[in-house]
Amino acid sequence: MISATGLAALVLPALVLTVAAPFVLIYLVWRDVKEKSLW
Amino acid sequence: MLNTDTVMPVSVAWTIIAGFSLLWVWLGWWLGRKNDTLDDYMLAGRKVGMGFAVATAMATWVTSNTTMTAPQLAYQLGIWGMVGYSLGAVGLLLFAPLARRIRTMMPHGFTSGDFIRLRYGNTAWRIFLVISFFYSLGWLISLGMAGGLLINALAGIPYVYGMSVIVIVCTLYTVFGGLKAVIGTDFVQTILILVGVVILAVLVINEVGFDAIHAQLEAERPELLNLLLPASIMFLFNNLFFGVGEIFHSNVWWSRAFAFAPGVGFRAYALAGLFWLPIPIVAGFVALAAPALGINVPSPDMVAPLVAGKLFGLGGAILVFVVVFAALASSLDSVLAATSDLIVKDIYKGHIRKDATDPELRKATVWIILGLGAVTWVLSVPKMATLGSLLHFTGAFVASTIWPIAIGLLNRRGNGILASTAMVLGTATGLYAYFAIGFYVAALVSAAVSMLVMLLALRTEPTFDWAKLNGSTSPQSNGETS
Repeated sequence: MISATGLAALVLPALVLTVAAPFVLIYLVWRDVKEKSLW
Repeated sequence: MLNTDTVMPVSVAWTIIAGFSLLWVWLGWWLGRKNDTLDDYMLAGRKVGMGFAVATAMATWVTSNTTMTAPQLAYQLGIWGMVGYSLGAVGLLLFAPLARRIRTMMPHGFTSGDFIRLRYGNTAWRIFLVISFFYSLGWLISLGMAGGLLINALAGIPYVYGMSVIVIVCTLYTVFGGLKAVIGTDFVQTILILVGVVILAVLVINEVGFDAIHAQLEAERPELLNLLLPASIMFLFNNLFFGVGEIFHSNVWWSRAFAFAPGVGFRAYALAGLFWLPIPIVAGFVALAAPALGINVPSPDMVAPLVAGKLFGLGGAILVFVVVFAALASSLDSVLAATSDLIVKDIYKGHIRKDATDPELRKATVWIILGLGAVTWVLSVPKMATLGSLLHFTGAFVASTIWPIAIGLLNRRGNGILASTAMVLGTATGLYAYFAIGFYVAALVSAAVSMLVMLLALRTEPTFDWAKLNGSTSPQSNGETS
């Protein structure tokens, strides 16, 4: 049986990674536009 | 059917639907306005850069099944339900090296069918096509159904109206812009999905909290916190193989491997897998708040919208609505485009009109996308199964293709007879397991049986000539092999 702390330990790191994802995506597209390699 | 627990006025729902529909269709037209050749239309010119490549891989894999079925599975199977769902990311991670190899070995390839035909011959190709179409149709129907269910759950708009809107809008912008429209809209949709899921999870943590959620689950549904629930553990492994099978065989992922610029495929799929991994956990967690909120869940696949609506009223309902609408569109367009490619190249060109020119194929693609949209609509109307059961039924089919594809791409051993046997026996035993044991073992059994057959391939002579894969679009090798 997982505890409340265990539940938080599972969800919070996942949340941090999900927060980071849009910033990384926008940076990658910005870099592609700058280097004229979007497509 | 009208849902009496709706939290969004019909007028608000229709306003959001109209706004996003216009945006997607306009974007589709705008992104595809410079499409010239068949390569432009079907494969976005084969020069997609890293940013769009990661976004499209993520967005396509974040389907309604992630945003609605992950909460459903968390609600039914608990912690392992959402962790098991997140293992779908393994498929993206394992496909990363294969994508690089596919791009290198088949620089002119169009579809996953091209590979099976050239690697294993006609019989395996046709068996593969049956599996692939069955899976694609299942995915399309589950997406259409999810659209109707979501809009009904949130706004009380009749199921058929909501389902019709999502299918028609996606079909239109895919027709207008081809793969460029699909990939460009995927980027916008990915950002919307990620931001929406994060806001929702943060609000649940703030408003309810881990302790309250845990305490209520312990009192009412302790099995959801049990890390040794046998069905959940089986589901976890089953979902792992299901996800790998879906990605390895589906033309959705192969067409992207062909479309990404050289050198992009490996990094794009690896990064997409890393960023996709946490999404089902975050989305699934939202469902665990349902008991603490005293929500009566009439159908488990509606749990996420109901939690959001109960907690945050109109704002929450709008948030979930936007997230799932984006998730649905990002996948439906991809499956439409990739399946139409498969029909155009492997059925129309491969079996019916072997001498068709590229402009003729381009024209045929438009009609096939429209036809697929119509078929999806017709088959989604009767609401034949729940989202989860429909999705996992196809697991028996797709998991049987994992080993024929992996061994076929990486090893010169193995032939068409073994690949065909692996796919047929894997599918048959997977289906038996689905009905005799449960949905959570279908892909597992299918992959295991297929693997046993393909192990025999490793005992054969390494006779396949890799150079054959290079000729996937040459006139001699279009259509059937001799």
